[in-house]
Amino acid sequence: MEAKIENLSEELLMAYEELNLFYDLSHSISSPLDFENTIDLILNKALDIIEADKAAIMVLDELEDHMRIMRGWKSGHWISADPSYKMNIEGTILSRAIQAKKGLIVNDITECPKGISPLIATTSLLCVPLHTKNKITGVLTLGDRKGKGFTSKDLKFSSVLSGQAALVIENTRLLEAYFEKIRLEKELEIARDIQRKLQPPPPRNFQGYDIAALSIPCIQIGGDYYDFIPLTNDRWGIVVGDVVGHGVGAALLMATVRSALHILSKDTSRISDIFHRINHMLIHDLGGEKCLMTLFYGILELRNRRLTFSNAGHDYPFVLRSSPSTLEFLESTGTVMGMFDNPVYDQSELQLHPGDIIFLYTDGAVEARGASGEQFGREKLYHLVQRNRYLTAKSLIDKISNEVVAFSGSRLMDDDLMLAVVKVSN
Amino acid sequence: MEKLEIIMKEQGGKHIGIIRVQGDLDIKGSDILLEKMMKLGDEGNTHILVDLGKVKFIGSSGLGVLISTLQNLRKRNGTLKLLHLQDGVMEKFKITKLIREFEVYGSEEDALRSFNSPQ
Repeated sequence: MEAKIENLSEELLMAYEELNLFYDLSHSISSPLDFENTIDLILNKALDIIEADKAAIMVLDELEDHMRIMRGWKSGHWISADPSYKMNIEGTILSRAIQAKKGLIVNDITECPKGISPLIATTSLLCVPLHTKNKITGVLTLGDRKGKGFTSKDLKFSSVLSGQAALVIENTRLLEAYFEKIRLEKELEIARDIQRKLQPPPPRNFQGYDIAALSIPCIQIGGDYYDFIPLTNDRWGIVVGDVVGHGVGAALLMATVRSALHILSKDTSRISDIFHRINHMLIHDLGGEKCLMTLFYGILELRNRRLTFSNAGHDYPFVLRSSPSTLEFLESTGTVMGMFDNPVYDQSELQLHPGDIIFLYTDGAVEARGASGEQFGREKLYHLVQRNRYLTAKSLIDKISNEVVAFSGSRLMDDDLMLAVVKVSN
Repeated sequence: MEKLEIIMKEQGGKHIGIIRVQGDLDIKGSDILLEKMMKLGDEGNTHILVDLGKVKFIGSSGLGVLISTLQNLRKRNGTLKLLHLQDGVMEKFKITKLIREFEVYGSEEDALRSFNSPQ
């Protein structure tokens, strides 16, 4: 009878402790930023109720079979996380508890084949995995219970604590990931804003010409770009470039090339020289397969209507002649940039006439995919420009971009889209 | 990219790594191709034949991977050759003028035989 009463009072006490724990935790977790306090509270509860000398929450490292101490208590002192310290748990009791997915007690540590770090325990050990919905993220350990070994009741209570710890850690991880995502999105928005400023709308005071351009990155920022550079009152540089890849890397490379082109084009009027210097910069300052870019640069003499250009492997811009209505391609005068030490970059000249249209684009326009995976194609682009040649430059750009976007349908565009039109006024 | 297969063949005393690519060589596909080619290189292979017969699209990332691998292999007295270019892929090589950097073959037999000559 007495034993029964003792058992019942112990169970009642345990239930009371559990209830008390949930009450304390609910106060502690009122703010997600109370993570450290909550972890300390869980460890304190374990130490108080189970009367262990050591307690720790350890988390699994990305490196298999390794763990890090997130927070611990050892003989009257807190142990804080040490990012540089990793414990190899291969073959230890901790690893066994994780594999078995259940708590374990070892009341004589010498029985552990691989032993255990004295940070965790020196005489006896209790170890419970931290379970989240789908995986085990770590363990709660208690070491060196005062006076006697750990009991199954200790294990039960520790399991309640480990469940709470797992929840707090997972929620905090998710919250941190969320905040990190927000931070990255803000940074990307800043980068996008800078890129937008680097591609202002084309100039309006382009006497005798009607000009429009459009750039739509497929993700927040991209590597396609256009530029109109004033050289003198009568000479303007027209640029279209495409850097390999998308995202921040491509945007940085694009910004570097853009700056170089602005400085160099004020220095020298020979485009092939400018191209050699940019190519040299790409290879020697940067280098690698991620530095490949195609670039078209033309210098337009406004009064003479003469276009001098070099094309480093860029999708051929074309001129739609007014009379007869034929297409003339501004073919590559050299290969892509950033790959070869001393490529040959020639330059070509072209006489424009009233009514002619120069159309420039990046491959995202012609390689956009339709519902069944087919490409938009160059022929379709040529045909559309020919059919809509009497539209203003802005309307022509809008028409083509609408067609490309409609062709892609609900599919996200795989590549950046850049279009530019220069119409020689009649 | 849907599939990438590597077969080793012997030709004129040389080990030739034949990489058959199926699907798009876009940014993701190019990363996979680069990884496989680097692995082949790390294993000491310096002669590679890339079969693009089932590749309809190659982006600039794909071109970058092929050209930089070719350059690396040349430094080790090796080479990279191309097999079965489809029209769209050939057009891309022509526009970028990269076609003159590569030896391109229409049949695997001819491609393999070409490795007999000293590189």
